Amino acid sequence: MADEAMISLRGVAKNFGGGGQEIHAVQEVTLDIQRGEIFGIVGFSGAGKSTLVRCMNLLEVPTKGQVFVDGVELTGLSKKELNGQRKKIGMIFQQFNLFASRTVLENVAFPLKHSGLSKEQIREKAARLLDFVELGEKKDAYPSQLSGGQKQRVAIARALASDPKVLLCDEATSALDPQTTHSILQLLKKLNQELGITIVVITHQMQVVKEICQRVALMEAGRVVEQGWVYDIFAQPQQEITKDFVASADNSNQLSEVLAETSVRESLGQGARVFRFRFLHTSGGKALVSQISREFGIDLNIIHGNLEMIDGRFLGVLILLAQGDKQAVDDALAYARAQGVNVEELRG
Amino acid sequence: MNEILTNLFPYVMKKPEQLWKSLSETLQMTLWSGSIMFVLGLALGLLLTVTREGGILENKGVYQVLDKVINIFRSIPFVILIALLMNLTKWIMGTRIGVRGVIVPLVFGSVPFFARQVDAALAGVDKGLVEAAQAMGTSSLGIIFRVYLREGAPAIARGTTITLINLVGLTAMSGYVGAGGLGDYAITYGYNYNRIDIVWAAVIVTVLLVSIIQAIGSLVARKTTH
Ligand SMILES: Nc1ncnc2c1ncn2[C@@H]1O[C@H](COP(=O)(O)OP(=O)(O)OP(=O)(O)O)[C@@H](O)[C@H]1O
Ligand SMILES: [Mg+2]
Repeated sequence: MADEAMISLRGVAKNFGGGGQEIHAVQEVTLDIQRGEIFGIVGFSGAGKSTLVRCMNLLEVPTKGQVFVDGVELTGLSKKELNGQRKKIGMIFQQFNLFASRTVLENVAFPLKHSGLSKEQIREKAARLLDFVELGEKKDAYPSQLSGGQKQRVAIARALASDPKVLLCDEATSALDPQTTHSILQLLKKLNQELGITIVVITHQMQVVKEICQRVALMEAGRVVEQGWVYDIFAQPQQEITKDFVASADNSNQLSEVLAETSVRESLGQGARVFRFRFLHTSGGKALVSQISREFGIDLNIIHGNLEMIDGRFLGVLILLAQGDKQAVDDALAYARAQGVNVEELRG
Repeated sequence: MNEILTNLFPYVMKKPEQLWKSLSETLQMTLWSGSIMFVLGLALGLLLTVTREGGILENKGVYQVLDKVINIFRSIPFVILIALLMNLTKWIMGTRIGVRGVIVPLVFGSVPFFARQVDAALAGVDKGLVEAAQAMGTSSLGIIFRVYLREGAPAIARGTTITLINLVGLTAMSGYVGAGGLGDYAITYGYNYNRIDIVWAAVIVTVLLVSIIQAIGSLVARKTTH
C-alpha cells in the first residue's frame, strides 16, 4: 500500500516502575506519521516525548499497544528480526552519542559491519556520507576534536549509513546554539527532500517545528492533546498548552506577565483591553486595523507585531490595545472575526 | 660495579641465583594466574554489567548469584583461601604445592576483585552509546565487543594494572605452599637469618616489577584514549 503510514502507533502506552508508584510516561497514543513528512512532537519536560519516540524503534518496549514501521509490526518481532528492522530506522540524540574511541569515519562505518559490503566499499560509503553532511575533511578526526554541530553531523551521517527510511531525532538540536541549530535543521530538510527520509523531530522549541515540520503533535502528561498541520496549530491553537507553545515562538509569551504589572496597567489607562489578532493567509490584505478603528470609533494601539512564513504561508500576529465604548469594541471584534482573523482577548 | 654490589648486598651476591629463581617464580605465578584472571574476570565483569537491571541482557537471577559469590570470595583472606581450595587445587592441577599449587588460589583471590574493576570500568561507558548501538540494530554480542570492551578499554587497562599489582602482593604469600617467589625469598633467606640486604633486594626487585606493570598499564590506557 502506497498510502499506508510510515509509522503507525496504535494505543501505545508505556509505564515505568511497578508496585505503588507506577509512572504512566505514555498513555494510549494513537498516531500516524506519513511517508516523506517531517513530523514534530512537542511538549514540556517530562511529557513523555522521548519515551514515545523510543517506542518507535522499541528502545522502550511499550507496555501496551502496537508499533508499525513501514508496514511491519515491530512489537511482534523476535530480537533478531527487530535488529534487522532497526537498520531502517535511524536515530540521533541530544548528546550525539558518538564512539569516542573511533574516528569520524569509523563512527559512520559502524552500522555497516556485516552489511555484506567489503571493507573498501564501507570506507567509500562512509566517506560519501561524510561529504553529504559536509564533513569530508574531518574523516580522520576523533569526536573529541569536533564542535557540537559537527558531532551532530557525524551522528546524522552514521544514522544514514544503513539507508534508513525513517530518522528519529530526540532533541537533536537542543544542545546547539541558534545558528548551528539552523544549519542542522537545514541538513535534516535536505535529507528529507533529497533522500525522501521520513523524519520525526522531538523538541521543546517551537522554532524548530516552525522551521522544518509539516505536521506536529503536542504532548502533555503522556498523551497527544493536539495535532495537526503546523500552520493551523500556529494560526489556531486550541489547547492551553498549545497556546503556550505558540506564544513562546512569537515572543508574546511574556505579555500576560507584563500586563499584570500594575504600573503597566495604569499607564495603559482605565478600561483598556488587550487582544491578540492572528491574521491568516486567508484573511486577505485589507488595512483591517485602521478600518475598524475608524468605523467603530475605537482607539487601537499596536503594542507588538510579528509576521512570518510557516510552511510557505503567511501568518501575522498583532497584539492590540483597544480603548473605547465596550459595545463598540465588541462589535469591532465580531467584525474582525468575520474577516477571518483569529481574535483572542488577553487578560493581565 | 660488582664490588659495590658485593659490599651493599653481601648475602645476595653470595648466591645471586636464589634471587633470580625467586623472581622467576614470582613472574611465573603472576603471568599464569594473571592471564587466567584476565579472561575470567573480564567475562564475569561483563556478565555483571549486562545482567544488571537495565542491562542489555538483564537477568536478575544470574546477577544476584554472581554478585553474592563475588562478595563472598572477596571477603576471604588469601591465606585462608589457599587452605579452603586445597582439594580443588589438587583436583585441577594434580598438586597443591609449588607454583602449580598456588595458581588456583591466586586466580580465586584476584578474579572477584578484577570482575568488580571491569564492572566499574564498563559502568563508565556512556549508556547513550549502548542505546545508539541498539538503535542501529547491533546484536548483544556486537554491543559487548564493539561498544563495551572497546569504549571501556582505557578503564579496563587501569583496572588490570591495579589487579596485577595486587596479584604480585598475593604471590608474596605463596611461600606457605612452597611456591617460592620474592616474598618467600625475603622471609626464608632474609628474615629467618637476619640478613637485611636480602630483604632489601626483594623490596627493590618487587618495586621495579610493580613499576613496570604500572608503566605498561598507563601506556595502554593512554594509547586507547582519544
Ligand atoms: N527509564 C525510566 N524509568 C523510570 N521513569 C522514566 C524512565 N524514562 C522516563 N521516565 C519518566 O517518564 C516520564 C516521561 O519521560 P520522557 O523522558 O519521555 O519525557 P520528555 O518529554 O522526553 O522530557 P524531556 O523534555 O525532559 O526530555 C517522566 O516522568 C520520566 O521521569
Ligand atoms: Mg526527552
